[in-house]
Amino acid sequence: MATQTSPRTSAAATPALRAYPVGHEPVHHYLREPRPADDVTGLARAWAWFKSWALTVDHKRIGIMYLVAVSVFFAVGGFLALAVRLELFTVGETIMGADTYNRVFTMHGIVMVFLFIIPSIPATLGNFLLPIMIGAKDVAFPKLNLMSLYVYAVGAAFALYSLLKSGGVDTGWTFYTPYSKDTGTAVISVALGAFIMGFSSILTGINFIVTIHKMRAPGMTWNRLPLFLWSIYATSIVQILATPVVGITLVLLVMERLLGIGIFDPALGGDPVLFQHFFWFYSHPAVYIMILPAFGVISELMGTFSRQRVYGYRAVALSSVAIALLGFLVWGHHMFTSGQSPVSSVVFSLITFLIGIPSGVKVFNWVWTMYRGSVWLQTPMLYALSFLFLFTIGGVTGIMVGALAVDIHLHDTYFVVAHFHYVMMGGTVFALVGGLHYWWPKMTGRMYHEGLGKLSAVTTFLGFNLTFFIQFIIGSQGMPRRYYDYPDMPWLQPWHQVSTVGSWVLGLGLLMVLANGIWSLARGRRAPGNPWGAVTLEWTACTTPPDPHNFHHTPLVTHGPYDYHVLFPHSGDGAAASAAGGGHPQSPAPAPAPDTATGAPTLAEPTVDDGTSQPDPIA
Amino acid sequence: MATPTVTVEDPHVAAHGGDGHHGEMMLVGYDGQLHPSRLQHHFVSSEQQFEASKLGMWLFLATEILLFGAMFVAYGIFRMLYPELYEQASLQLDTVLGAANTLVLLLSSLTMAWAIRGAQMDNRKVLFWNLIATIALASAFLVVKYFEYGHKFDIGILPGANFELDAGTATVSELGGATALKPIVDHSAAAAADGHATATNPLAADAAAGSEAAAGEHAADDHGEGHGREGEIFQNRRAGIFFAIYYMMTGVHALHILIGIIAIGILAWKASRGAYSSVWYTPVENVGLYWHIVDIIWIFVFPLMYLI
Repeated sequence: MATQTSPRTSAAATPALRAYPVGHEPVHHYLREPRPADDVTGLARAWAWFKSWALTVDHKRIGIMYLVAVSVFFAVGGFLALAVRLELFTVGETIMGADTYNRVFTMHGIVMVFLFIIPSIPATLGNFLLPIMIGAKDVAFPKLNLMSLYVYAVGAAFALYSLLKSGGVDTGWTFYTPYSKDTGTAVISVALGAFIMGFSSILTGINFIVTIHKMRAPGMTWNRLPLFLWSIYATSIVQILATPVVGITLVLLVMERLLGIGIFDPALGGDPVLFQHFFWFYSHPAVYIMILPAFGVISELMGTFSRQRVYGYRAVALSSVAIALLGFLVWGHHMFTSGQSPVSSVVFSLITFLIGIPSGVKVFNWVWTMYRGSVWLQTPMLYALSFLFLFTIGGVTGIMVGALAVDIHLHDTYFVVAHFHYVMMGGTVFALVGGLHYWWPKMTGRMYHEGLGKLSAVTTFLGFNLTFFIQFIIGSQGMPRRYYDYPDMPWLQPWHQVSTVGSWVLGLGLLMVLANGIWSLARGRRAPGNPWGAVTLEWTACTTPPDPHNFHHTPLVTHGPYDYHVLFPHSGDGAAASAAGGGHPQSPAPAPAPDTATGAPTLAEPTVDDGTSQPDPIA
Repeated sequence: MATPTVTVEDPHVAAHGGDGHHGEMMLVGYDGQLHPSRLQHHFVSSEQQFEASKLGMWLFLATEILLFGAMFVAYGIFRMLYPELYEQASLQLDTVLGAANTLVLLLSSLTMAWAIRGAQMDNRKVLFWNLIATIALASAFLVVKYFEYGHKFDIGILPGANFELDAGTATVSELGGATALKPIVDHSAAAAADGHATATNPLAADAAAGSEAAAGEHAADDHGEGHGREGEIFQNRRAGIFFAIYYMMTGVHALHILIGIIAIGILAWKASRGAYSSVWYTPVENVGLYWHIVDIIWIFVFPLMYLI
């Protein structure tokens, strides 16, 4: 009504006049071929190729660039970890002195936490898969998505600048005051780097939440959302709500060093424990930023490689959200020995135990998904099973250190180190590697080497346990974390040596993963459209590798993410199977495993014409 | 290549991705169909695009709340630890200037909302001049802030370690770290006992000797400019803490005002070139949301810092 009163919007008067002049129409570039034209050669071709990646707003390319970046930083952090293990090989100074050791373990933590594991799964697999899985052409804000990558790069540069400035920082990745205020190392650049990378994390989180809320294809109800996306959604909530707090905390820390504002400085009346509260208000939820996406990956793997529906879909989906929300209320369990009041400690301990419930829901549902399924031991499933084993150990020991009395003994020992490596490395990294194997054919169009993949899975699993299970023992014997030497505990030397050898085995296993990827790009077999016979949209409604705009026609979603019977209608007749007690009650027998050379039978997903259909760019 | 003059019955219907508005610029896409010119390729319709943008903005505003939330928590904790510090320190803040700035910001929110209304009404003049008015008011806020800061810098009210105490006052660091943090329990117990928390706080005891008289004296020159280094705060060893929080909160807030001025400036520039209409005004709407959150944060900062 209001708009009709304005002469400017009178329909009859203007529609033809408002068109662009001939020859000046803006061109929509979204269908541009991702590679330069044939007549562009030499340097110009290289430049065009570079621009096609550096300026792309395609979520798939951004995801792949993130993957390369986090892989490089994972390697950097990994070598630092090997150095840490090597130093502990013998009592006394092995390869480096105490000051160097402080810098090495700190940079290991900072690189692994801020540069690798926070963006690891959401920004790589999440970016690549999220729009495809909901049937959208891209994330809601493609330019912000690209910006998040560059912001991340700038933040990483700030963090790594400290290596040039002072050979890294020596505060530990937690930057506890007042030491971080007084140390001579380049805390400011690292803190600013983490602050800047926080923006990247927030941008990714906002993008994902808006995309999931607003851009689902017709028929993609919340109850048909793949579990990977439920966990990405929960992760994004944490990213949005927790990251700003650590941002301002790190700014305050920088100001503390620059201006001596004193808020965290007891010498001026400030409160160093306040820093710990602020820091862990982010950094505990941040461990759920790290592990929740891994839960999602494992849910996908469990369904596909058990060949039947993920059991308790809603429970698994909502437990992700529950973990995300409860995760905000447990930060104080990092501070049981920091002098907080006993009442707070008891409450924090109790809520910490509560997190075990949704985590347990997930683990039991994954196990039950395999029960009477047709478990198919491909490489991704081996990683998923490793995850199940390692995460359970990591989670249960988390409950142990969350218990007040136990924690007083175990606080700041290698027991805690082993616990969080079981969750972060045994959980997130194994899920990431498993997910990479699973989606590798989709991302690259090539199959990896199955034999080498299985060998790497076994090697990393053995190497990991060799490295870190030992640390539970030496931790409970009193070996403190962050010490470069153990002169009073020479009997621990053989244990440390086993752990160090284990780190080499683990490194070897991860090198095999890298070699497998490179081999696959060079020599790998062309992947069929749906090698695993999965029924989420990226496998059923999308080419391999996906077209620049994902779908020619918006898919109409008519089945759930784990309804394998739509692909295999003749497999195990549902009624007879459930009468005979096969599979879950009221569900068909497990779908058969397809031949990975030819893939699953194709499924013509129905589509809708919402006015965005695109012609095939090759045609 | 797109053909500019395509005649269809009504290109703005939902089937073409339009939002039903008339006068919307339409383009021919690669599929040969008409699409609203502002519709990005990955959205189905203009409504979807608008709602997605707005939801994204709201989520961003949530991060802003959390960003300032941490500083509000710091404010609250130190207020609980050192109540007397806050009483003494807030007397140094100029309530009149603070209130004036509050009015200025409230007015700027009005002009911002009016600008959005102008866009919705396709009234380009209303849109443009309200954006300009918003910029003017925001700049006025910063000018007032500049004078407030300048005055404080002049008389030595600086954050943290740089706060200039009166001669003869021991700094907290000279007392040694152990005594720096006063247990909360003592404060509340003392306050409950006789209601004079400041007078019974041993760390502020020397400064608070004549607190009753001094408070009355300062009430007189509480308002208006020109009060110099008067007040117990200059003998309070922890004065730097309050002003660290003050400068951080108002400083980060002023930074947001500055970013807002830049954003609104870009809007005004584009609005003057006719970029926004009732069909598409998403940036105006989103910057407006941002501007309101900056305003709301000040609404909380002002009473906490200046009034109580």
